[in-house]
Amino acid sequence: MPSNDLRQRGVQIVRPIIYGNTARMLTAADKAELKPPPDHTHRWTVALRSAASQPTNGENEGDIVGGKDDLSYFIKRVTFKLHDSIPNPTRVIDKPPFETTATGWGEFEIQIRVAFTQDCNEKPITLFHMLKLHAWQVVKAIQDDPHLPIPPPIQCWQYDEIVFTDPQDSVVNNFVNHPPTPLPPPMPAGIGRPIPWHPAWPKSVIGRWK
Amino acid sequence: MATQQRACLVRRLQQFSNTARDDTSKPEGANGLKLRHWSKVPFKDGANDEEDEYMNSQEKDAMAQDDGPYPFAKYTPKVDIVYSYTDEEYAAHLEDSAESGWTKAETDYLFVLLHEYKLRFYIVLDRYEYQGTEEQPAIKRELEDLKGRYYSIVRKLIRARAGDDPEKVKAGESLLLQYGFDYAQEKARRQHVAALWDRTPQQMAEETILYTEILRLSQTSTVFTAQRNALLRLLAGIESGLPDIATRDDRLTPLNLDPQIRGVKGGPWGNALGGLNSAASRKKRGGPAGHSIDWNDSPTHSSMLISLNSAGASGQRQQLPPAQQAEFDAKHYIYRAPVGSALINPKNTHTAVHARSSKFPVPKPILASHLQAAHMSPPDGQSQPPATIFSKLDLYPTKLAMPTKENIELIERVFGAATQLIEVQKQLEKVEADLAKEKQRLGPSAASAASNIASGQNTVPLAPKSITVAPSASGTAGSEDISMQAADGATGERGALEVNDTASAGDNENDEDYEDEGDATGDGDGEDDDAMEGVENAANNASGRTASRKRSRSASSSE
Repeated sequence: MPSNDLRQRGVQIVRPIIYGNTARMLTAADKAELKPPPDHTHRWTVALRSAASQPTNGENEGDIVGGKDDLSYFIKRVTFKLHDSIPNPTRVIDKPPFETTATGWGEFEIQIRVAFTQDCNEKPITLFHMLKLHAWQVVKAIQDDPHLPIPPPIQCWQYDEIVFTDPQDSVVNNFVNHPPTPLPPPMPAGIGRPIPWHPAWPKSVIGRWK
Repeated sequence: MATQQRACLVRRLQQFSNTARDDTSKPEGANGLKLRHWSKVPFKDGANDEEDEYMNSQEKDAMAQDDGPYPFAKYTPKVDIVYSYTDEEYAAHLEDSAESGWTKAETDYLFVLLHEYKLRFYIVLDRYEYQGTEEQPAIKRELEDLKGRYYSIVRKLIRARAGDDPEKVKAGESLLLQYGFDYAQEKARRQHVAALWDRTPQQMAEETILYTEILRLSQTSTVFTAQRNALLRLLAGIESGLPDIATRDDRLTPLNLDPQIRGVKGGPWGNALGGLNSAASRKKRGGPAGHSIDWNDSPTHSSMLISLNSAGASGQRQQLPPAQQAEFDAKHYIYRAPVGSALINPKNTHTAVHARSSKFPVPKPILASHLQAAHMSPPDGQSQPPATIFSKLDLYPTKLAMPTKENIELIERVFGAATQLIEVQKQLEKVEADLAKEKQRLGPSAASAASNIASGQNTVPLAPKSITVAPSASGTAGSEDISMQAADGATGERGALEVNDTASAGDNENDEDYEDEGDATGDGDGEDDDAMEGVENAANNASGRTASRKRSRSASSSE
């Protein structure tokens, strides 16, 4: 620890992040390209991003949630520990975007280990995310019906805040140089993006498929 | 030996030349001077005793002899550059503005004096006796007036003579810098020096005393406040809130002192203090032993002190006013714990970085069954689980979608309110069971008699009918009401319990009081009054209010 870099007591500096996954059904093109095992049904991406999203331009809404800000000024490495049955189950991502993609058929818990840059002088923290592949409301019969369009990708994200307590001066200066994009104010239901599903509020699912 | 030496050296009047004087070049008759001085010369003729005779002869010799140049002449400054001007130049460039009133006659007079005294302005001022004319009487000139006039003329001449020739202009630039003169500053400087000079010995002694007093006070106050703060943290775990304490561990460094004081004192004193304090803080923070930065001289340290209160982007940010500070903090997601907050860790241990969601409050065990049910309940609500406080609120508090600081605090409050509500419910069940038992034991007539006595005493009646419990505590439908209102946070007493409005028991302040009384209800048979007080207090505690009992009764009946 540099001796002249003191900690500011009583100060907390916070960075909003989201972590979670997107998933979609494997298409024929995916199957041709990736050649997954025959029992795989979904292609998913698990990621850790900044909470603010790129401004939406109306179309192409969906896949990119969050990720407007570059987090590499305080995150050095993100390690995704996937299920052992997946090839190369420990995915170490050293630079943004902190995300990794795989195919599979089952949901499991992913361990996300976040290591901070050297000058933060903090230990890594661990987050857990339950991979979400299946829509909540769609019953199997609908899913199998070939006449229905492929359901939109699943979005399952958890907002969180990384709290640095008593940060060092250099850390504060570094963070102040990278202010996070402010989050948009909450919108009334039905305007803007659909409210993502969250177990804290199951009703968020209802209405999405109406 | 000595006598022999004295005999060998005599003083003799000798002629010499002095290059520092310009009045010796002329011949003696035309106001010129012959310079002579007594110089030691070896005595040549030791046998001559007739001094007078000798002297006369030697004087004649001295006139002829030359002692050479005067050795100290080289120390006389030679000022050759006294500018002068022609009439044309004066007319073209040097006409003065009216307010300072320099006429050509006076300027000429000034320049004559300046030439004569070789720019020695103090002497010029001393000799300055310009009489003026009848139209323009002489103005009393001060030193700065003379200097200002001379230097302004010099600057104008330099500019005018440089003309358009670029080389001359370039040479003139540096000359102009040399001849710069700030009238106001020079005047203020002279007055300042004069004021310093005019101090009496008493004033100087007083200043010294005051200065040492300031030093002493500032030293003792920082030490005192630091000690007091340390003591407060040790004993009570709070910050003292004294305004002049830096929120760092290096409070003792003299950087907190007025920089002027340190600057004036300077030298070994400041260094000694700096060394002492850096050593102290090093020890305190357990830093590496090899670290030997002098805090006084470390530029990084002073810049950090500036960025102490508001973390500056470049470390040079000044303290912002509160409104801007709040805005800045909100923008950068910075939270500052207020003085005395529990967030300021009293033990100096470091709180590691964490995700906000990991600070989700741990509910009390009494809430566990409700939380579990909430978690299990399917979102579509097809199979109806037993309704809980949280399911009624449409709240599934095992996880927060947005675990911000405010939301964590809110869910803490919800948990607190729900816990109190459940406790009140349990108290209520106990009291009801007791009442039923009592009623059974006494029989219907005794119960009504007891009711009459109770109402006559204007205390809480014993009869169950006079206690209006809005929901039955054990029923699920009832608990729905309870949960709704408890979650409102303010109106818990409506659903929780209705007691006669005449109750006059004092409100207990904390939970333990009513819990104790609640236990008492289970033991004794004749302690219903106490039990009722306890329940009522519990209700009050749950609601956080004591006032609106009457209103709440009607409200609950209307629902």
